[in-house]
Amino acid sequence: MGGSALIIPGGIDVAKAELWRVLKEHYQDGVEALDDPDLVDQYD
Amino acid sequence: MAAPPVVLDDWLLITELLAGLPTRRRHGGLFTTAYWYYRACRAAVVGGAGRLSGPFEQFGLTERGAAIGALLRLREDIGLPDARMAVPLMAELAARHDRLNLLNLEACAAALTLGAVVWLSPESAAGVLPPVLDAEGIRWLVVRPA
Repeated sequence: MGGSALIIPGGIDVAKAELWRVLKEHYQDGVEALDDPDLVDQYD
Repeated sequence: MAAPPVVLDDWLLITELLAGLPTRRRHGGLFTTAYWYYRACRAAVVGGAGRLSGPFEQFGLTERGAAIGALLRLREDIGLPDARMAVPLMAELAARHDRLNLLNLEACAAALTLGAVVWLSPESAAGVLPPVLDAEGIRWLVVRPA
C-alpha cells in the first residue's frame, strides 16, 4: 500500500468479514482467471 | 512427541487470515509457501475486488486491490521456508517429477525442508499434488474450511 493508509469504514474486522464472504464464493474464479501455468492446480 | 509444523495451501491460508482455520489439530507452527501466498494475493484481487460491497463500496478497483493485499498480509506467526534450503530441493524434485509446476514443486520442497505436514483444501487435494507428496514420503491431509 506504499506509504499511505487506506481507512476502511467499519474497521478491519468488518472488512475481513466482507472479503471472506466474497472469496468463499469467488476465490476459485480468481484462481482460474490467472491463466498462469505455474499457478494452476495441475490435474494430469 | 512434538507435533510437526504445517504447510497451508493458499485457500487455507486465506481461511486462517480472514476467519481462522476450523480445525483444532495440534501443530508445530504454521507455514505457507511463496507461490501459495502469491496466488492467494493475486486470485483474491481478481476474484474478489469487483464483488466487494459494504465497507468497500466507496473505493475503486485499485484501492480495493490494495485493501485486499493489506488484509491478506502474512502474520508474523506464519512462516515461509528458507529459499536457500527449498530451491535446491525444488531442482531435485523437478528431475523426478518433470511436469510439476513451480507452485507444486515449492509445496513439496517446503514440506521436505521443514519436516512438515501439508494441509490441503479440497481443491488442491483433487489435483496431482497428493500422489507426488505420497511418492516423496510427505504427510498430508485435507482440511475443509467451514
